[in-house]
Amino acid sequence: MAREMEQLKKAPVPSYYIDYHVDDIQFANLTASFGSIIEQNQDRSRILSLRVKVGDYAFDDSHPVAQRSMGYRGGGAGQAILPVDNDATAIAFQIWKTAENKYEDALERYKAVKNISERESKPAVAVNDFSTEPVETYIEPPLKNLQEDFDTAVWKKKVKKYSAIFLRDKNIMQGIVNIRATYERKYFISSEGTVIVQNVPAIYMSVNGSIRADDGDIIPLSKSYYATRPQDLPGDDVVVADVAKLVDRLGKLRTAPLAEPYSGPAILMAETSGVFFHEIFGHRIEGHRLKNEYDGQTFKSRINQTVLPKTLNVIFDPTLSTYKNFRLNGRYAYDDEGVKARRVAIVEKGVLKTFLMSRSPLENISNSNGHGRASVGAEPVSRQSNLIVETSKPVKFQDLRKQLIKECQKQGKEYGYLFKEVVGGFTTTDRYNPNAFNIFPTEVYRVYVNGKPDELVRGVDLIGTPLAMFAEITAAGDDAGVFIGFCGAESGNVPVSAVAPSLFVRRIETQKKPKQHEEATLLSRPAPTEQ
Amino acid sequence: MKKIIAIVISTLLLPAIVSAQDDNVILRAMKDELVRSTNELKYENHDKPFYISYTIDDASIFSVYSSLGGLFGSRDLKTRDKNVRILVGDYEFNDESLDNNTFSDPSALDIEMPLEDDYYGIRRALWTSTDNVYKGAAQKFKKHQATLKEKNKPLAELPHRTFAKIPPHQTHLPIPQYNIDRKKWEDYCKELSSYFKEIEALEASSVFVTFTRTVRYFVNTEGTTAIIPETLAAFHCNAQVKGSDGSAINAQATRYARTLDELPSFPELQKEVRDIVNKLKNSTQTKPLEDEYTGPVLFIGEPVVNVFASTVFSLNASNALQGQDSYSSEGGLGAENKVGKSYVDASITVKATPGLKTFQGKPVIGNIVMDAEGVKPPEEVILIEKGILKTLMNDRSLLKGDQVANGFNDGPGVVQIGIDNGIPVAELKEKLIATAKAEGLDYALIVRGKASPMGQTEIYKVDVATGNEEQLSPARLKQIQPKDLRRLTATATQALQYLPLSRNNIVSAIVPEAVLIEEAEVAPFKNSFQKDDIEYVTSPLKGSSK
Repeated sequence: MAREMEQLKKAPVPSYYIDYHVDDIQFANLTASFGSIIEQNQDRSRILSLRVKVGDYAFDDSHPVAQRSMGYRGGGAGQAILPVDNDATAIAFQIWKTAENKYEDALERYKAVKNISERESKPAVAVNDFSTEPVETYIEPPLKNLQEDFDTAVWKKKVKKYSAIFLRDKNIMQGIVNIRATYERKYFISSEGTVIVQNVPAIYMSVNGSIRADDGDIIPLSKSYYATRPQDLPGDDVVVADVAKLVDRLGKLRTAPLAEPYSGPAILMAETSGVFFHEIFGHRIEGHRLKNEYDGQTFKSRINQTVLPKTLNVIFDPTLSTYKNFRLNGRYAYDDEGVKARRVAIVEKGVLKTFLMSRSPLENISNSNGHGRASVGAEPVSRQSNLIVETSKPVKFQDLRKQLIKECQKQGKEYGYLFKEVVGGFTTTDRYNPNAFNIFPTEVYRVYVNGKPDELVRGVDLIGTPLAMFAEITAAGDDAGVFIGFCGAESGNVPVSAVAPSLFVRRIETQKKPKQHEEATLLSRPAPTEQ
Repeated sequence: MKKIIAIVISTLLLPAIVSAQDDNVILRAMKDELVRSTNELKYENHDKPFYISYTIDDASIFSVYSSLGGLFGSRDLKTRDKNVRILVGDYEFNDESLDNNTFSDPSALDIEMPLEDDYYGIRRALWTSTDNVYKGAAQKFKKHQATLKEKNKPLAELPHRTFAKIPPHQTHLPIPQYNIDRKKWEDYCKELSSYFKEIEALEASSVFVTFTRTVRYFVNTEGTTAIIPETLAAFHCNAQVKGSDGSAINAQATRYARTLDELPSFPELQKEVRDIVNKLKNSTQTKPLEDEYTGPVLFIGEPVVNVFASTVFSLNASNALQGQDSYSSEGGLGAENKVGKSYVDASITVKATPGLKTFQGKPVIGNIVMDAEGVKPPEEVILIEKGILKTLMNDRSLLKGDQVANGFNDGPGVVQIGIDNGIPVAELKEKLIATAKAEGLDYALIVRGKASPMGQTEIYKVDVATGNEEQLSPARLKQIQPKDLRRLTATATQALQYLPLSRNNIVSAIVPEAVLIEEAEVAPFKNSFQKDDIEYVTSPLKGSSK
């Protein structure tokens, strides 16, 4: 880096900042289907991603301009594979080629944005393109060899055993269990002098089943587990019971009625409300997006204004690895720009306080708060970490149900909805499409006002527009649930958690899920019983 | 769009375990599911299948990748792929008769083939594919029946594909086991790739070794069962430097063998890589071909195989129905109408000899015991005799009455190209110069050495006045067409070369050592991605040259 920086400073348009990011990844992956191993990988790789910035902190190649007529055909060029052994020449050569390409890319973009910005009207408040941050040094001890912790033979037996439980129901079409273990050591250095070496061990196990309903629709259900070491995943007794429950629920869903579109009261149980907040709120307080004139910028001018019920606090805290006994996967010591992770209170008593910030400043926020994140090989932007929603006025779950029923009666509804589990969702934040969200529930019940037992239904997606939805949040439970997942956006897939209480919402909307028309198989599945 | 999902399953990296196989389990599972499918498949209001075949390709792919002395990858990937083919109707008229698209749409309910010898797992994987493929075939056959009715013509008057009847066979070959010394190959690749550190103008380089062990299991309702092991080892070396004019100059070497032990010895590989290093060091000062060239070109050594690559190696019958989209090559389509006619120079005879195992005492790879449709090819098929196209390579789908399924679904395997009245290389060079002079050219071109990626070719300029040769920067040779082979002279002596059709499908080509094409086109190589020739930071290899 010293050599690159020294020579690039002498270039006609010098570089003022370089960073290198290397992900050294040990990886193991096992997948079993109905008791048979169908995928087995184990490997190690090192991936370099780097940034070379041209200009200065005030105005550089990342300066936001309208994309039209930039006359710039750039993109990418900042990634390379590095050798898995420590051959200095091979590593230096890869870095040199990648940095050279990246500098040329940054130079082209810098010339383009410089040209455009001279034609565009100047903003009322000048905002730097890149923040200045403290120089940090942080080095964690070396990570263990994954093979020391991950016994392939043991886990093969386990995933085979777990997935074989799906054989219990002849109507189940897919019964897959996957375990993916990554021990990742992340290296970051910058020309400012920051040196960060941190470990990110992560074990994810997922259980995915699907069943065919008599009308040909395919109904999926899933369950996932997260730990930082294989031995910390739940034991056989827990997983076997969970898969058995999932099989049982699939059987019930097969004959469950299809739901019609609905507008009315609902309870989002804790795990679902975490995803709900991630989609409708979290993506709208990611700072870099508020500089983009194509974005809807829902909250850009709402700092110190009430945006949520006064009983709610919203925090993003990447320093936590657990919360109320839940393991959180959005934890890191330093973000992907070498900025120290910190707790950020985004909403206090319903009032918006700040945004999630990377090193791309906004008008009133000139520094990062440790949320510049990226997946392997991507450039960091501001992203969510561990989302925590807290309420100052918790309500017992039974009281939430009472409120639901009361509100249904008030609105003249025969039933309200209870969203118990969810597999994910998405939202659009740009201003050229409806600012909407869509959440994919997997376990949904109708709660009848006349005391009839809750009825499991299928084929429901939870939809809506964010601002309207915020106003409908009426009460929050005294419980908490966690959703562990990966969030996909501009800088790739990053691990995120969402912890929230159950919510009672006065009015939600649902729409029908896309339906499949799969014919029944002509012959029965071989191996009719659990092996 | 931003989204959150529970768990993203990645297939980013590759595995490394080969388990001991009990072959009988795979074959037994295939046979048992075949019997069940044959006896029990019933799809309301649709015909039953008349033909079912199951193929399982059990493959292990060892690969090592190194660059500049660093190890970038070393793995042994195990895969098992299945192929299910089901025909509804009969051999004369079936679901594939009137449609060029014979592939089934994938099913969301597919179950992947287990990596282990898991009897029920294998049957489940075949079961889901059978269900999907059969339903598609049965529906398509019903549609074809309606089309036939609508045309209101006898079937004989309607262009259609038939399915060839093939006698069943049982071919069960022993499955060899291989012990791979991974460390040895890692060390070899690292050392060989480290030689490129000497090239200051280096832009990229890599050394790969791969060893693919495949066992194909095949059963069909005609009674054929087969277990066919195949192996292919390969050594690849690629490098690129920046020429004096800023253009990219590539060089490569590839060696194939049946096993890792049969690859050239380490000293031979060292010499091969050293030669490339030296060649690239010198090539940075070579001049480019100034203008596009049309005239005589002499091919010597490895590049000879490329003369025939797009012509006589791809004499496959496409059997595509006209008026529908076809994925077949132009060569194949064009050749179908030229059977019995003059196709190339009358001195050329081309034979497919898929069973040939050795040539001049050296092992020949690419032999075919059985093609993907279970057909055993004959020992020898004459494709071109004294310039006349005699027949084409066929699979089991036939469009014309005089065609036969000759077992070439996977290509020719081994091809021999013989030339009448061959002359030595020295005389070919004299003829090259004489031809160029007669055409009023100042120079002629020789292509020798190794073919490079991106269509680049090692070119030598021959002064017609002095006969002196000068190496030029790599240039691009326009693809040779059958018409270009109508004026050709070659050596009588032959050499064994290899032509990769796909990653694991290699044609062994026994071709003349040198070939003179009287009219070929060569153009300067233009790299459309070439950037301004500015080096902002010096290469870390600068100053490392010995």
